[in-house]
Amino acid sequence: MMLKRIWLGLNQTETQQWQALLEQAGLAVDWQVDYTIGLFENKQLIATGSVYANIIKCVAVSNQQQSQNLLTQVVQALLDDLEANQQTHSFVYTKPGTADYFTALGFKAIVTTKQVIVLERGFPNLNDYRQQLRQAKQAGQRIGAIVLNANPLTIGHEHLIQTAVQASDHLYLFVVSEERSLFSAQERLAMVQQIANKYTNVTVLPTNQYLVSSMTFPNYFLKDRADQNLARVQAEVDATLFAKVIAPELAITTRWVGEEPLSPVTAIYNQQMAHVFGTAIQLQIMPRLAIAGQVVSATRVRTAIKAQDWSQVAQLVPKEIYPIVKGSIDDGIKTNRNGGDHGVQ
Amino acid sequence: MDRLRRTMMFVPGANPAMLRDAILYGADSIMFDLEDAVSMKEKDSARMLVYSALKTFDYHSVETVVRINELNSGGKQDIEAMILGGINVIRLPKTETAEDIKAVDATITEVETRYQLPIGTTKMMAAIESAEGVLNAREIATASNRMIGIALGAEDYVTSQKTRRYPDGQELFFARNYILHAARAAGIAAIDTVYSDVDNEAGLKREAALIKQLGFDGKSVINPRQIPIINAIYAPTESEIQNAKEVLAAIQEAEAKGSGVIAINGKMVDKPIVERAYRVLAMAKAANMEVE
Amino acid sequence: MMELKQIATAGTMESSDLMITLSPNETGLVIDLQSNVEKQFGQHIRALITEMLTKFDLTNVTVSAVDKGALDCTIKARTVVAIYRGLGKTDYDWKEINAWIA
Repeated sequence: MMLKRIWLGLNQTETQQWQALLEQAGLAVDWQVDYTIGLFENKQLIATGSVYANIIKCVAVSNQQQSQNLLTQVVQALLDDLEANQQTHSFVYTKPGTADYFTALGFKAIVTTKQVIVLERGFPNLNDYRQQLRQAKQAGQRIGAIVLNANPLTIGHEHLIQTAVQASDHLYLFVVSEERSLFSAQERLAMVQQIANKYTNVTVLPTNQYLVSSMTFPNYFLKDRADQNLARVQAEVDATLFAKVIAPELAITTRWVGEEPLSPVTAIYNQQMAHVFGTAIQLQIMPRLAIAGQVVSATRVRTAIKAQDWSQVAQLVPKEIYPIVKGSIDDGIKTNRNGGDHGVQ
Repeated sequence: MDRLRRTMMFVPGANPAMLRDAILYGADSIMFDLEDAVSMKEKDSARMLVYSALKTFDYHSVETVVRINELNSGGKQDIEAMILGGINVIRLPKTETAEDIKAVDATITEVETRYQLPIGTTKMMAAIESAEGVLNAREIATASNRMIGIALGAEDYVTSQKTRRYPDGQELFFARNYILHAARAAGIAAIDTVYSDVDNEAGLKREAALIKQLGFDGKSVINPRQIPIINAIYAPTESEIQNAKEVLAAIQEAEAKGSGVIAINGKMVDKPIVERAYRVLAMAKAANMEVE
Repeated sequence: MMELKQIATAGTMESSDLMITLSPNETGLVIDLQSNVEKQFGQHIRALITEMLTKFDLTNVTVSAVDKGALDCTIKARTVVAIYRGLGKTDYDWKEINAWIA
């Protein structure tokens, strides 16, 4: 038996075996992976697993094999790889039927849907995040939440926040923690905090990896290249984690989102939220703010930044946010960075 | 009679299951590896696990050896931990000169002194893995009173010689013989390199027969499956045992008679023959063969 | 009282091993153990881990451990290594350790 890296795409034979094994195991063939390993016997792939950021996924063992033992070898090799990259916390994204294998390896389930279970191990974990939420909890009847990337924060975001604040006793703003955007999580948090400071009943919180992340919803970040079937499954995971874990912690009654008619992934996300939330949480879809006949979006701001059209940028972002945006761009070689935000408000 | 060292089995230091089972395979010596078998980030774990295993398991009469890291990359902590664990022999890898041995010897003495252990309790052996090391084998073999053996490490050696391993072992001809001479001149053991093609039983048998013929005490092994194969090669034949028994009987007879001259079948029995007879019987006993 | 500096892991999930992760907290010792011999040895394994943490005067720690049938000597060794890693220290006090591990 030999454990080796599979170079997806580079080694056609092994890639085909990998696809076949995933299909046989009833798993979606998910190409969004950084690193894949395979356990081979007589050149036949008998077990595989992949890592994407700190997420273990596409773990499959051939039907003919004693699974637990092989699975342990695969997961151990992936954990070694994660540890080598200084990851002290990891997730497993798999189908519910295989959960027991992973709990035996010390993973704890954090969210389950019909098709997917997510488990985690290491620290800091979901309990730590819940603790953080509990400490931020404010009293009230009408409790709103907005999840936003704010890459950067626009007058559209400001408008949505304003509308939500007026309809809420308290409003929580969740800022996407994932570092896949032109502006760093720290900068985006600072922008949202600026706006929040205008109100006495608004709290800003990070999402860590528990909302709109590579863990809950990796296809979200693929924009037009998103696989819609996978996106549907992942959106349900994201919405379920929000509804079952995060919302109850803060007694959230309403989730506010901006309409994005042109993005299929966002449409799927909104559909799944409506489906998962049911009557427990109200989903408020707000029309987008438009100026000069065009909706205001962070994408539009980034296009203007790229074109160095600073008067356009100044029109699209709140005046207290403009210096942060300008300062950040002047600071670094940020224009080289890829601005991968869309959909999230 | 020297200790038997037909097989010296490598046990990766970071593997708890192998540390636990090492005693079961019948190797004459167990060599815990803190060096190449352990990745850089697991050095601390391996050192602690081997230390803990040494303190816990009863290795009976099996010789415990540890392959340490070089002194300036963790070797000092290795030595301290292993001595406290009660290791028999410290093996220095990639030995080039007598100075390498003297430096390790001094560190061992320092630790023995600090913990008030009798100086010299901990033995040493050296692995020779380069042209420089081979040519210095005589000085290495005699560099410390702690030395009990020298071993050839062929993987690095053949690379330093700009060649590779071949089935007939011609590329190791000089190194094997020179190391063997250095060991014998110093009165210590000579251990041959590993045979890394674990699945090639015929190849291992051939190599074991060759090194036995040359005079090596034994061989390093990397897989427990190799142990019975090498032991079988080292086991004396029936006629060798028979002959050895007759030699000893003749000695006893001569002693009883008070005669100084011993002869069997008209041939004089001198000291080397007696020595060899004892060795054959020890080997036979170790191989669980009938000697009485 | 000592404090862990960082999250630290030692060990693997292979047979006969223990994988242990230590994380600093502010609320006191919590041990989460996953073991296939929990019924017979769960208490014993927890006691060994606690014993090693006590040697270092560590109490504000969340422990997550996966036991795959590790022997006592392995449990102690893996725990001590995780502690040193968590303290960010590499200079082991072998004299002290030698007094604890009989």
